[in-house]
Amino acid sequence: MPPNPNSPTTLGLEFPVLSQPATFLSDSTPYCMSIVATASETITNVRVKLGEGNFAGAALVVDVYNAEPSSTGFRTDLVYPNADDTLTGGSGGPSGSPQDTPGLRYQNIDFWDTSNDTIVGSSAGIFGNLPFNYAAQFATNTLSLTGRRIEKVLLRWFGGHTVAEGALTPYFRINGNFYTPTNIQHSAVAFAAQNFWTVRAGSFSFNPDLNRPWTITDIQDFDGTDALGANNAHIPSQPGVSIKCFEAQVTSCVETRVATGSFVPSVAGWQTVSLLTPTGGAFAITSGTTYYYVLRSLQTTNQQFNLATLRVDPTSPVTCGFGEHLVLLSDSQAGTVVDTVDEEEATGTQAVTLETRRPLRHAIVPRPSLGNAVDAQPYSLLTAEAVETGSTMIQEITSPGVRSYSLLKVVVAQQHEDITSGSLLVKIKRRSDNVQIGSTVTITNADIIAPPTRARVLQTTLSTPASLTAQQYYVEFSSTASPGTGWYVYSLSDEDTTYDNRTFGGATDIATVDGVDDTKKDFLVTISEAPSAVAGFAATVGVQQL
Amino acid sequence: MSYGTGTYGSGTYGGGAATINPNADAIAEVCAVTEVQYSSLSWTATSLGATFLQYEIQRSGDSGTTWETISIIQTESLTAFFDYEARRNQQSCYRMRVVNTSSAPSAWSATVCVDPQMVASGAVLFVSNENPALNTGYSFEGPKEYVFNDAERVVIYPLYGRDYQVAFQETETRGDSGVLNLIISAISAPINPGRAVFNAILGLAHAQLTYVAILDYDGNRWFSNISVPSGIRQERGAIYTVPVNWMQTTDTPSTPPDGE
Repeated sequence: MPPNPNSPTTLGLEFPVLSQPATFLSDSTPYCMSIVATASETITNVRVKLGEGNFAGAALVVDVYNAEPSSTGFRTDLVYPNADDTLTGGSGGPSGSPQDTPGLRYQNIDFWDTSNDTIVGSSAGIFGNLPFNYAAQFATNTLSLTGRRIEKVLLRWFGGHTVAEGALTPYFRINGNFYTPTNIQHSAVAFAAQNFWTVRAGSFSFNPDLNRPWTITDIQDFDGTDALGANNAHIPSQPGVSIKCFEAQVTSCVETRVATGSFVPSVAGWQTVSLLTPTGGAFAITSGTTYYYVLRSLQTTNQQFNLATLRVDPTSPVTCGFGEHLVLLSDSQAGTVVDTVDEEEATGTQAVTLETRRPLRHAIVPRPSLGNAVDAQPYSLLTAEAVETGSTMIQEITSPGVRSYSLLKVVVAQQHEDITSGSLLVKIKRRSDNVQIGSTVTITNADIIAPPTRARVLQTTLSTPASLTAQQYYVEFSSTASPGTGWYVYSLSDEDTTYDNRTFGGATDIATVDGVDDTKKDFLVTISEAPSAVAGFAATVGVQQL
Repeated sequence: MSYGTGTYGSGTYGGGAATINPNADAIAEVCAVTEVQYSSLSWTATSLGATFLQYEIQRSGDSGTTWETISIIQTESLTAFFDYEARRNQQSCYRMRVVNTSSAPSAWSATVCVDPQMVASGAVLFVSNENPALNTGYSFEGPKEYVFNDAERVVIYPLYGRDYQVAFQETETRGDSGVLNLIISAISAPINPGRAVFNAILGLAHAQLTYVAILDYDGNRWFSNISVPSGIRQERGAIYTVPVNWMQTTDTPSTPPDGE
């Protein structure tokens, strides 16, 4: 068991900040933790533990940064159709006319100059009667997206109807599947000469086919195998529709993620999430670099996940995750970190939510392949163990040498709000012969600050320090209190068998609960080395001349 | 220099009460105390280096039964602390320990005791460990009156339908207070005559201190706020007197950092 590098004179787990036993992740509440890598290695997966929740349509994302997350350099590129893909129930002009040449009908679509809301061109557009469906490839391959992170793709058409307002609905066709944005809005076109002409627009901030953030390749595929279109799926009763202008807006920012991964959970429990760089390469971390892992949801509503409770990092300092966290102002679906509210016209942009510094209280365990990363986080649960008559808890420790320990910290609570029927006794004993070393620490309800039933770190000193040598000892918690009026001592535990050997002390220094050894559990107790007494202390009478 | 062998034993005070003749035209300065004894504590600096957090020094006035912390020193290289606030003519005992950055304390040092003395029965000291440069002391005249502040906090209330009265008494302790009428100069030609004679006591009263420790010959000690509402100069004999209002504000010593 290596000594804690953050506190080499202390034996035991480095305490995390305790949090509520469960929390929720919804679309507007990203969570962050940071880990200072202590080794250079390739990370292929992270593990996230989910409690019970609403998994219908759930999709979660883990983004990784090597600096405090921020998103800058937002830019919106306009792209237009450059090839016909599908046309049903319409034409670009009279049958047989040059305007109705299959494959060139997109040329009948004019450009919409959004800078001054004017139509560039005088083409008739693509028009027809219901049922109507038109899709095209867009010139996304012409966009300069290298080094960019895709925030959103918005599809917008401008057109009309001969009788009433336009009825065509924008859609995305990806890998042969059709996806209609749920945020479609339409509005009248005041500048257009024709009556009943409208704008309809809808967007996706993630790839709806794969339930993951957009990639550059995804965008480029709209210039090839995929298509963007409009049909009358929503108002089939209206005849006589047309598309005058058709455009896609690709919003991007500077790519600052070093890795990303996504997953679609269906049941509670551990989730394995593959991590790759944003361009699809292997994710390699560098020793000494701080990495920020942000867990967020792609969902917009009704997606809340009861997450596992906490994580702890026994081997590397945590600068983000407990107490010091990130401020994320996030467009939830895109996951980009923005500092202004971007309300685009008729796009139904997601509400932007200020997320205050929240801890990541659930386990994210970076690991290479199926093995353990050096900085893997082994714990996922905080558990209270009752200490009372007949119920004694033990945490083993091993002294690295001849040391004298005087300070004891333990996470405790009373079982009952008002009373305890017996003190909590804490003793350090030698494993080889069970002989007590140093004095007994007696904790009474007078030592507990209200509310007594909440877990707290209690710090006390041994009146006689425990002088240990290089061998194994254990900290014993016992009480003669009756059940229900005794004590709780808290432990960190792990439900993932992969990480048994990552817990404090590995399989050597383990916890014992009521006589049963548990290699996946460690009690939150530390003992700290006492310095030598001050030498040469003396007192004499001095005289001050006034 | 200790009491009994140095200036006090053979000097002006003569080991007894100050002799003050308010009618004299010119007498020696006998009103202002010229020396204050203190407990001088010393030790060998530890060598914890980066793991050093602080030294803690405690004082006991009952031979080690109860202790109170009087200094927290956060400079490892310091090796001395002077305690001016120990009770006079009584034994004060001390112990200290070092604490590392894990908040783990060492064992306490051996207990050492000293017995700082008050020079004269008619004198009272105003001292502060936080700013010893302001320490001063004077003779006083007239009786000492102790006001026990708890008494005036009792509320007597007659209740309808109940004989006698109900007395409501606070559970808190309000301490003592009083007025000390000090003769701060009785010399015909002080170095700085006039209002400047009052400067020392006024400076202490206005200083930004947690409290002023008032020590008397009987071993009493009050951690108090003091105020000086007026000063009196009697021309004949050039006697300067002041009433010092004092009010006990705490019973817990302050812990000046690094023995300031």
